[in-house]
Amino acid sequence: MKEFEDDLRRKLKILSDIIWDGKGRKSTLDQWLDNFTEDDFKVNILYLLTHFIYFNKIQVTEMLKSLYRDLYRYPILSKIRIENGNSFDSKIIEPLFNVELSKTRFVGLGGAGESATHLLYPFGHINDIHPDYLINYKEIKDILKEDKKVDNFIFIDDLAGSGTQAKKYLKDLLTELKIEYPNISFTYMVLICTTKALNTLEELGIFKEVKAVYLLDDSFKAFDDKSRFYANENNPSFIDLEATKKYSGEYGKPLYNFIWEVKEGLDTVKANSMADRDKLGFKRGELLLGFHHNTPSNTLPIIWFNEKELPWIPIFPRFNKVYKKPAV
Amino acid sequence: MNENPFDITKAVHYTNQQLLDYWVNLPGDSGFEEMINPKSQMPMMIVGGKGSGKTHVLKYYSFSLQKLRYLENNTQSVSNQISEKGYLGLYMRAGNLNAKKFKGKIHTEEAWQAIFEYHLDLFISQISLKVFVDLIKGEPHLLKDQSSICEKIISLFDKWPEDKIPKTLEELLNCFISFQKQIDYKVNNSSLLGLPIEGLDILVTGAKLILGIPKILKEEFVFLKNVQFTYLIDEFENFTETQQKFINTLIREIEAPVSIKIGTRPYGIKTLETFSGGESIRKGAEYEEVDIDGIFRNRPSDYSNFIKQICLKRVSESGFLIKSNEALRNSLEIFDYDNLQKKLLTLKRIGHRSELERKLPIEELKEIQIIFDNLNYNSNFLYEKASYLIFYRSWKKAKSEFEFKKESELISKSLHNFIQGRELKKNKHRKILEKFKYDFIDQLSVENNLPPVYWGLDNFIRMSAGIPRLVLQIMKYTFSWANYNEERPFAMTSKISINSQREGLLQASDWFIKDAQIPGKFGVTVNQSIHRIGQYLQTLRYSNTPPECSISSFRIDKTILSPQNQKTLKFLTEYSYLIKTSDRQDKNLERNDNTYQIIGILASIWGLSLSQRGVPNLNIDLAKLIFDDDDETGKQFKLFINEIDSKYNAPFLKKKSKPNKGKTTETPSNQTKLL
Amino acid sequence: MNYEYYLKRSFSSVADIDYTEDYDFFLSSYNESDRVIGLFNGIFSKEKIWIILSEYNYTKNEYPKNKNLFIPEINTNEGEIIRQLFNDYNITSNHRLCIDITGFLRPHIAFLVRYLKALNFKKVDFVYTDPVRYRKKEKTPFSSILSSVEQVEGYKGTSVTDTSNDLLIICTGYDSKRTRAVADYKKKASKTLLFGLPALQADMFQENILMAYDAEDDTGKGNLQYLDSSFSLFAPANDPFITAQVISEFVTNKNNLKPITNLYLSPVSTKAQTLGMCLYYVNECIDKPVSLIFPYCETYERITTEGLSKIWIYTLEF
Repeated sequence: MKEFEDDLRRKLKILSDIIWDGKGRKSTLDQWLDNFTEDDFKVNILYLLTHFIYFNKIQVTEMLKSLYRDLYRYPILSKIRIENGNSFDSKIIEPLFNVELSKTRFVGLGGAGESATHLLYPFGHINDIHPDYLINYKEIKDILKEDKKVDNFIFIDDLAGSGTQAKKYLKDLLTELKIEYPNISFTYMVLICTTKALNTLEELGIFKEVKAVYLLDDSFKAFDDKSRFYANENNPSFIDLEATKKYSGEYGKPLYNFIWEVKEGLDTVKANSMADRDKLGFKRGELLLGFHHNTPSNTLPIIWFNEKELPWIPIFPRFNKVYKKPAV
Repeated sequence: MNENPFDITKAVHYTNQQLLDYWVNLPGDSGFEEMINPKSQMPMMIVGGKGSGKTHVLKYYSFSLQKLRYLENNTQSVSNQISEKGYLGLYMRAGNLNAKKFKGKIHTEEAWQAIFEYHLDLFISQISLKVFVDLIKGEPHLLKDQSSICEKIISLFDKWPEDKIPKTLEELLNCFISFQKQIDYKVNNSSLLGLPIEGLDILVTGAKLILGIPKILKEEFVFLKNVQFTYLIDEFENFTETQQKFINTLIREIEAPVSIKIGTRPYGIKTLETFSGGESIRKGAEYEEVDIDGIFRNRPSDYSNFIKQICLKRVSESGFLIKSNEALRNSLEIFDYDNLQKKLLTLKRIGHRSELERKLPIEELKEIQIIFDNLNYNSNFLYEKASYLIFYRSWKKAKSEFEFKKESELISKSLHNFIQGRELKKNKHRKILEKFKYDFIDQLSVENNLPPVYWGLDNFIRMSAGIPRLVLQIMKYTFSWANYNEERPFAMTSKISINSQREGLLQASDWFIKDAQIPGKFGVTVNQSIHRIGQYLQTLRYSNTPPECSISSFRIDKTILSPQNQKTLKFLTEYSYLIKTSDRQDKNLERNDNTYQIIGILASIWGLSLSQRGVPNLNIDLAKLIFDDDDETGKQFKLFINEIDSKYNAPFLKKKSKPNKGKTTETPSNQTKLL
Repeated sequence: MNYEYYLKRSFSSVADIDYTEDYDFFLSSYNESDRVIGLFNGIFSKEKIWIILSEYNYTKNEYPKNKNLFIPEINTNEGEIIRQLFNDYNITSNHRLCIDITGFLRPHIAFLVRYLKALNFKKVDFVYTDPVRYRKKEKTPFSSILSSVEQVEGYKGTSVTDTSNDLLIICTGYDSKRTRAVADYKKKASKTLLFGLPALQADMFQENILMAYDAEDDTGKGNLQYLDSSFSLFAPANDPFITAQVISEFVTNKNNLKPITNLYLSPVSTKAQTLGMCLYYVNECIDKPVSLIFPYCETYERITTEGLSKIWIYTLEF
């Protein structure tokens, strides 16, 4: 076991050095491991961590490029080529593309301070999109009134874990707009989307398309039967999915309970049942991923829980959401 | 995070300026200049393993670096300084030619050879032309009229296309480039379409350009009066056998003002034959050989200083304040026996004691207690280990019933005498400690899951066996680990921990094996053999009764090996897995015997010694078990290791273990993976 | 050259393929993985040919039954094999070809692209199927024993004596041994790694980097080569055209800063990226000091992946 553990630590060093932006170095790692009391089980926790998928700035940049180039631009280009005798001539293709682009607005989702909004401007910058084409979702109505040409709204998001966020912000607004402007199309484009969120969003019936740079099937759920993190037939016998799931839940539950009860102010019973649901990540997310700008709540809370009131050291801290407005 | 001073470990990754900045001459009486002697007319083969630094050395004497150096000294022109130094280095790497493409079923080998020679002649000559185009740009006064020189060079050709009349060296150079491109184009097209090469005019034959252009240049430029043109051809191993034959022929025919120095790996020389009647070039008479690895190994103290200077340059270039060899050494934690002693005292169970407890075939607790009281000695575990060794040796030798208690009493007496300095001459403890002290230290570490003692810069230097890159590699990974472990490496007040060094070394040894990249199935055989040797020596060294002290080597009579196995052994030495250590006349050796030591960077994998004292013999049967690569041998080898294990470890069962029976294929008890 | 304009289409199964033209020949290299066999059986084409490559070590009784088999002579290289195939079946530029590259070996894919260009084909469809996952994550074995690094037939280019600004671009994948081998073979060249990003799946980029790290010493810039986008290139793992685009832009920029002396390209990542690298070569590098180098192995693993997530059809226009 010692040898296996040493190998895991070596792998974690490489990850820390070259992908995780230097996060999770020895001292942080050891402090995080100290959250867990059972020494024998630490090797399972280390194993879990070696499968954490971190999206650093370079990756996010490339994914934002891909989102624009591959998900937005390419389908338009191919349509233009086919409609223009398979032309390869940029003098024909680019002006036609620009017409399409001018009818499009890229929309940041969520309020100020939420990650998707932060993503919009880098998205514009990386892909050389005029700032006028980047808007907040609250501006859609005004734009439709002001600029009759615009008929295509692309919502940009970093992660759709359960689809809850997008639904919360857009369902009513877009349903209403669809009635008023039946020819307008709404597309949801996201860096990472779980199949569950994809289904939820498609079922809303408000989007022409839901597209993702990476689609995560259930194999990306840490403890799913089909979990890709445990699919390796060469794993030693002490690497145990079920036990790790149980263990992570036992540690995760009080963490999420704290959020629901203390931060969100739910009553004890309700908070307890919510914590039961979320102990392995928001809405049973069971994800093992994080961005350089934040770690999503759908990821296991043992990874990110970061509230100073509880003695828990996160390895990839989630930046604290301000849960309540201060009393005035 | 600090920049890793050792991130770049290969000269080829440096810019010319970095090559110059990081240049360190070999200290001592004879530096590189004396060794390489760039202005001597004698052709030279510079042989060095991967990472020996031969590229750095060869490039140092090339024109691009000469120029950089001479420009730094601006009291004199570059040409003047060339004249003063007496040589002009024309560097090329064989790999750059992509010489492998001159082969294929479409043409005969002779036809390909003719095309290759023409190509090579044009290719190498471009190098000297370029140097002069460059020189004249910097010092236009050197040559006013270039057309006559062009004419002379053109006259070396058997034929010259009439539509091209170059007037300057640069135009001439472009002609050479276009001729060469034409060859490439024709060769490529033929191999693409599977058709013979057509319409390729071979305009010049017999290396006339390589040998002739320097002569012409010398006649035209005054500053070249006493200057030699030294072709520095690196990566000789990248030429095919016939191509090497061509170069060998050049070596034979070469004459002033041209000389040739060839850089090659030890296994790079495929043939010494020439095209002059298939005769071989003769070492000493026609060329001399410089064995860089050997020089480094034979001058350990110069080598050690050389490496430390290289490290210091790196460290200070990266902005650290370490300036002296001493400060450098002190920035790595080193082994301290007292720490080990203290650490052992804190353990609940001590490896060798538990082992003996398990093995003693005695029921009565009281007797066991007495034996342990006699053997154990908390004040110094090395002394205690000596007692254990004496005990096990006697047990092993015992013909009939072994009297454990009695033996332990004798040992206790010997220990007391030793401590009190009585009858030292005959004292067993004294004799054993003299020989086995370091073996005991390693055993104590390994048996108690403590890191073995391979740390500190001086040890890393020993482990590198004269291959500078290995030290840089170990340091690179060590630094990287120290950084990750947040130890602030090379800050004045901190030391790089043993743990970081251990991980660094482990990564470096892994790298070393992967780096060898011996192509084909043979690579697998070679790797398997080194692992078996390592495992065999490890089994001996960590047994209860090691037959020798400081095991890390073996001796073998090469002539008993099959040709295939001789080849494996040859590869093991050529790729520096094994270092041949018996060049000097050793009285203990039989006529055909040679000794080989596992290179230190690998020795650490099996916990072998870094020094060489006891040298077990590999007889023919054992050699076959180690070098043969069929599956059956693999099984037999495992059985053999088990046998050895029983032979050297208590309770010393004499019976041979039989195949396919019970636990025979299990790893022997002492076979812990080290590091 | 704008490689973004090339057409690519993706389908979730062979039954969904939407044919724009009838194929005269469908070529595929036999490999028992489901994604290769399924496509062969399901696709519409007048003739379908299995090419049996000796590197997979299939024995006669493992050959597919009742099919058109093309079995090359032993000890023939990619050029000889493909030329023979085209001769035997009399394949010319008048035919519509579809080639599944999933089971082909990279040198054969490369030679095909170069040869089609030489034979004046105007348009050829290449198919590639994305796997769901690699069998043993980043420990998946791909190739066995390396025999040697060589220039690929049809991509030998020329070379210049000046090596001061040689560049090697490696499309690097899970098989780090091969990345090491090519990097070691062109030691002097400065190296740029091209990674598949977006990767085929969300976890694969990180796995790829873990593997590439194994070659870190040979590729030469320490940890920086992964952290700093000025040392690395990124193109989607399943998009040959963006791969070609990214390489083309990078080389153009480099040349503008300081002309590259000899350029070497080595495709050891996905076969889609291999296709992209070759497309870039045949469009921009023929007869220049540019060559494609590849670490040839004696044998290759037959099955390295599981599942089929997407079928891609890339239309190469020459």
